[in-house]
Amino acid sequence: MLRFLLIRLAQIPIVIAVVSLIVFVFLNASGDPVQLLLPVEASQEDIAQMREALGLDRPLLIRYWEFLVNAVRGDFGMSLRARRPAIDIVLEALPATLELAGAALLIATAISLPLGIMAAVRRNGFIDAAATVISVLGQSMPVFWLGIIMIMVFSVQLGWLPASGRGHWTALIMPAVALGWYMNALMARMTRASMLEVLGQPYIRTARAKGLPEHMVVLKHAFGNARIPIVTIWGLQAGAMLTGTVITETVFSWPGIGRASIYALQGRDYPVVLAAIAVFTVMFLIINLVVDLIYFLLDPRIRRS
Amino acid sequence: MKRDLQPCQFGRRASAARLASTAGAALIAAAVSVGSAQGQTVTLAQGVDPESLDPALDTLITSVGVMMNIYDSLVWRDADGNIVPGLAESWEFPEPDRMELTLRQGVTFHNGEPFNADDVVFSYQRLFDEDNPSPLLTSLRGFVDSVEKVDDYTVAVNMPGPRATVVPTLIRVPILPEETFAEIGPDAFGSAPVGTGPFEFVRWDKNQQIVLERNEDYWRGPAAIERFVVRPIPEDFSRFASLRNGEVDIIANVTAERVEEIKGDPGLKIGTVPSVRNMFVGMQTAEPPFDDVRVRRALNHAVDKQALIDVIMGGFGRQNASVCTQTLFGAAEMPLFDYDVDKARTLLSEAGYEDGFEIEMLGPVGRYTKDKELQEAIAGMLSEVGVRVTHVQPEWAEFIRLWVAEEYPMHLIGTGNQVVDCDQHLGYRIHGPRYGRYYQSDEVDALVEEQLREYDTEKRKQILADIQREVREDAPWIFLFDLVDIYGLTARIDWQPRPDEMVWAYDISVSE
Repeated sequence: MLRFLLIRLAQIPIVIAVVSLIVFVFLNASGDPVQLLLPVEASQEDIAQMREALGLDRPLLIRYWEFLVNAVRGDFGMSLRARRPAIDIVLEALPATLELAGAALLIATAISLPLGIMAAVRRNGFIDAAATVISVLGQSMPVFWLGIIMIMVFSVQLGWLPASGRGHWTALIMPAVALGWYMNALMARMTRASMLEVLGQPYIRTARAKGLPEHMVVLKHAFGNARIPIVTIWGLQAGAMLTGTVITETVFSWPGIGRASIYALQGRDYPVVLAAIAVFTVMFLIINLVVDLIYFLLDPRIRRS
Repeated sequence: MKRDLQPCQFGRRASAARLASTAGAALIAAAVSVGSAQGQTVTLAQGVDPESLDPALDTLITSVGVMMNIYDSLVWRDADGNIVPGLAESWEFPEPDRMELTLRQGVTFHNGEPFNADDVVFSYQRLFDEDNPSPLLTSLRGFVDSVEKVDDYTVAVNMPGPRATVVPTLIRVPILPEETFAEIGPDAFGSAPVGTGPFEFVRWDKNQQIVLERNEDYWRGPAAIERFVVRPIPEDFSRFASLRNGEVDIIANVTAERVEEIKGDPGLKIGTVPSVRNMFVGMQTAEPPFDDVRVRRALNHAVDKQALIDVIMGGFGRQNASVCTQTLFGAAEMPLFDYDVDKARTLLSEAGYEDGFEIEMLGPVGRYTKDKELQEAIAGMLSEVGVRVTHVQPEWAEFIRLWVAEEYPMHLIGTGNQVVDCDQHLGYRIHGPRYGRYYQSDEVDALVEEQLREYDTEKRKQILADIQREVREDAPWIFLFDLVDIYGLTARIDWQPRPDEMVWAYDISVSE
């Protein structure tokens, strides 16, 4: 167990190094941060001077190596545009992203699990039909579009919820629902499918035959066995949710990492982009680690092997 | 309230009524004060949050707009476009290349630090720091060499030579408190700035809101509104929805389609102002086919500019065949190139291109209002005369890199202007001793130099008009139009937008 954990943790820096190299090369292959920083009328001397001052006149690989060496110590360099530590810009935005992703995760889990279980138990009933509709709608609507429709209905038409920003708790509702919607749909479908599979197993019949109450059969015996694939999907989706924040945060003007990194990307402010990607990567890996640990807890077969 | 005025006739009941009415009045008074506290807060939504509120670091116009509410410059431009004194009360030119400014006395920064010549020298000289170059320096280079203290309330600006536009150039440099800056350091200062301006900095929740509060001791007199809040809302639609929802009072960059929708809402209204920005299609005049003036004129006749304005821009635009936007000082009205496909074809065959040619056009997407639609419409019109356009449309960062490198023979772009003077447009667009690209002319260069040295405004206007005529004949661009800036406002806002794209909250008042 400990060995497993250590191996997983040791992978983190390697993954970050590989991911950052790819990003670094791509970011430098197009655009030029100095030309974006200076007004368009800047002379060649202005550009050269600024490039030198920011250290961008040195070869790409040397800059990458420096970045890597410093990044190990948690120093991602200075933002080219704001001229303050890039990691500060990202960490300032972290609470907003965690709040949004957390709320979305909560909403998606709280709705999809009961929905999926009930749909499986009352197969072809009303709830099952509703769950199917929600799944199809949820999986076929892009976050961007869903967000705009929600703003149109709940802010502009009904005036119930603020259209943008963060601060009051009501401002969290729409972005969290928009972000959690896809995951909710997928999880509901997965839960239903794996519950149906388990409910057809002989041991469920046995459980019923020995006179267990139906809720015990469903929750303990059926869900207990169906939850492993559900946890897998949950982990994958929780990670995907991080990338979903990029779009959701833009639509709803949510001050999180997704938006900060898009803006940095447009300005080719690569220290900030790299810092954001490093933070995203760490969160992603932590989620994977948590999922693995949950397997350990849930499945005695893994624990024994 | 009314009942209070009635004579009290019935002992106890009257006093009960009075009690009730007093309570009612108190309630009303409380409601009014709450209402006015909200009413006195004006919220602006714009696309991006500033990177920093240190003027040496962030020169984006939306950021500069926020800063100009916190800081003052030596010179300022009022809403009507006139140059007015700022922290300098007056100025004179003892030598053609030296300007002396008399500073306002008794002004203090928001934290109490008194303002004097040292702050001016500091605010300018830090821009010249070679180890820590500022993008703001680009606006000064070639106009200001250095700023020095003469006495506590006099500074001198040294120029490389006579510079007719040095006065409006100074508008772009806000004055910072030297001691406070040294005390708290550049990082902290950029996140919590101190100035002498009409509004004091209160707080900045990054990517969320910047809150400014009225400076009660402002030397021009306190502003009409109590609080000014700036919120970044990147998405066009969300910005519009926030306005309709009453979450914000002012939004910039409203698209033409939204105008009718805003006009139809009794709680909202539109504010428009002719912009300093001019849109055009640049051509590489140093290489074929555009080295031939007949080809360039032909393309000007082949594009129906009025149709572009009417159909794509929703009527918000003004045809202009001058290098200078008509809102700028010195701009002169030039005869338009009429839309005439036959004339275009004739000119093209005279130049040896009777079958037209294939050409690549570089253009941004999402940077200017309707930029993609404009490129497509222009390409469609050009195909009528046999000019077959292939679009190259990278995102903005890559666009700028390719544009600066002069990689493509044609491009759609717009030029703005920070000093609201024709001269800056000439610098941007004409390759001369300064920085322009794609077009060069010795005659024009000589005239550009001449107007730059001419302090007599009438004579200078004459030279500028000559330049514009010369350039119009050369037709180095497909002349398109000047933009109109459209703002969406809540009905209670009383504000006339400025042509320089800044929202200066000192000019805003609120009617309930």
